[in-house]
Amino acid sequence: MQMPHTDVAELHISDRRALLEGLRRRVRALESPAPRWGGVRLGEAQAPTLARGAIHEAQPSAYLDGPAAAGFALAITARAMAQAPGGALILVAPGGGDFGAPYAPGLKRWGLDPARLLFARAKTTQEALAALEEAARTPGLSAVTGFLPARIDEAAARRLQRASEAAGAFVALWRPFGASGVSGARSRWRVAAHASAAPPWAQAAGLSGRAVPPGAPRLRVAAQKGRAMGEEQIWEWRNATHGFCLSAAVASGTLHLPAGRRSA
Amino acid sequence: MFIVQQAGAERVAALDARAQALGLSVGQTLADARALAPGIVCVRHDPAADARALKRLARGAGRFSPSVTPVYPDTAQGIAGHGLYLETEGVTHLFGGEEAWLAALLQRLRRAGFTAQGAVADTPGQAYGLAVFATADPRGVVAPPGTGEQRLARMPAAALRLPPAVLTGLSALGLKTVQQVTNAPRVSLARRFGAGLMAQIDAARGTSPEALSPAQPPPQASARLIFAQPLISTQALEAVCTRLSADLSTQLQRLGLGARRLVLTLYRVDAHALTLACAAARPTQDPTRLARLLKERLARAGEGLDLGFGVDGAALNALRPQALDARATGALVGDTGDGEGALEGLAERLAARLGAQAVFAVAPRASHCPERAQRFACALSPDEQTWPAGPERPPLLLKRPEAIEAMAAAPDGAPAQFRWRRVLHRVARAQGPERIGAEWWLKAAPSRDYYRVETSEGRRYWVFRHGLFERETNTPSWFVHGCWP
Repeated sequence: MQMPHTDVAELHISDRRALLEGLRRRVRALESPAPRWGGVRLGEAQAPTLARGAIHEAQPSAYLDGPAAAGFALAITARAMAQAPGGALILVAPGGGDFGAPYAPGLKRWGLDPARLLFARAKTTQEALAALEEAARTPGLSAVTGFLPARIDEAAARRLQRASEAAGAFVALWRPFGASGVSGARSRWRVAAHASAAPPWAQAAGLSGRAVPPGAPRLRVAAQKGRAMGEEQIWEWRNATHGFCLSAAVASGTLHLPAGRRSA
Repeated sequence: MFIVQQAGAERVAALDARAQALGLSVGQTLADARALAPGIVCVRHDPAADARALKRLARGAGRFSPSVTPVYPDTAQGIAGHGLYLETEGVTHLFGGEEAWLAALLQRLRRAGFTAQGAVADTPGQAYGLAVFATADPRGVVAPPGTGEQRLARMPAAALRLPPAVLTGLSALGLKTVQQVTNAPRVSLARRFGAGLMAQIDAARGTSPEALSPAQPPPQASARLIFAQPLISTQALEAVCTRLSADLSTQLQRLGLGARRLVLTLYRVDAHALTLACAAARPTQDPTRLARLLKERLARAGEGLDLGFGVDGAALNALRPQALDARATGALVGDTGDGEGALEGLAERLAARLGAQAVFAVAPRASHCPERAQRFACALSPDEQTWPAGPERPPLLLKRPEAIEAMAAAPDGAPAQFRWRRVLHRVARAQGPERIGAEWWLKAAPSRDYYRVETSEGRRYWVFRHGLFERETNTPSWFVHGCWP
């Protein structure tokens, strides 16, 4: 795949040696075997804005990736809350809070304003789905987010899907590892945690090894269902914009990416 | 059948009519009673269970009056048996007069298996005396206003609720009826028997009002319905909710208050009462909103609601009604409109469905302790939220910190690896410590050193060392407290 010429200009390299170095790096990137991930157009700056009136489901790639998938579900919730006025419901069903319950001081930094959030706990899965359905039918809500267990009643999930379609509600669901997907979900995302990049100042500060603090969270995301279906991508969380951007390693051009496909 | 109480020897505490007919009496030893009537059935006396049953009965009697006071037997106070005082003000007309009201109440109690006597009179004292000592009519005694005192005058002195010692003293003086006691010179009676006797006489005559402590304080705003036929279907109950909500709403509007906590009481035919409580997100007087809350609550109770042979009375009380704020009056936000109103309505409906404790908003609290940095707010208050911009916090916090086996390169350093949920995590990066001391009033609790760590797989956790090395403990323990995506 050819990189467009404009990209070279974007590198902001003024002197010749650096320009050559940059080109060499690109050539090396082209010659190395194609990475098994990629698929988002360069410059994709934020988490995907997913369609309203549908269920979007996040599932971890492994048991311990539960928090990663939860972060994804919360991020798309934050996105939906940014796009529409009104509050949101976050409901935790039994078995849905394996890695802890949403914590307001942390949510704030994840792009969710606690003042616009209503929290609920359900005692049974059935109760949880009925409550989510009730919320989906409530006009004026920006998002409905549920942390559900692995086993849910298919008929109740269908009702939730119909409710979200009828009322145009945005529904985000977190499911544990190994859960069979909700058949009515418009999109399903498999999410795993990915090692973060060292903060840019760490090297200058002479930090190495364990002393380097974790950088911005990165997730490996693959859409398994829906329009964005494709290969795994690495997304990096941006605190400033409350959205994901393509991982810096990809954006800097050290990794080869096919251009074209946009996320759903 | 009768009941037995232990008091040195086993003695008879209570008898039913058939046992009385056999010539047994209360206070007899069990051996004597057995000798007289070998076939009797004995049950050990359980005063606590009696008290519980009376309380239950008092709740059930709420169908007949908003203010019911249970009376427990107390020989020192001259109270012989269990009873209930009911205020008849404003309820008897629903039953077609005092006679019909009393007859219905007594019938209800007898059907539930109690022997019951009753009276309606001007004061609780008169009602007690007449109920206990004027027993001829199974429909009870109704003394029209102003006549209670005359009726009581013919009763024995015990009708004044007097301790046994006073009664013996009075009878030694030849004062056997209420009239004789009230006609005797007050001063000498007071000198001989104390002020207690005078107080009882005054209470019975109504010259000094008697303070009762009802089982439930009478609510400020309450609506009640009495049905001729028992209801059992869900649709009927929902219709009842609509009616009660409309009535309560009218009262609230008159008071200029809004209801936040509602208690719906359903009176079963068998003298039991079922209570269902629910709460609104903020004070309201809107009848449709009240009705919707009640219907959600009924739906949540669902099959668990045992209506028995039906329900023939219902009351809806607003507990501690509050002033309405601008939003509730609809000045700022429409009730079913967008935004806040929608979330609030949802909060109410979910609270009725999942339970009031299960639905909450959070507000910041000035505390360094992570568990205490958010507080649960029952009502949404979007205006007054400023979350402190402190060090980073995870979006997921475990219910309680989970112990891990951690190995640190230095005893006061970041962990190098740890085992959590049976999986070994190697720490690739760490940031910290952020030292969070226990709040000063919890001095005994050790401080925590929090680290933000990333494992070699890229998973991010919030771990802490519990106890400062050497200063607080030599073997600090480690915990995971939260997760980052």
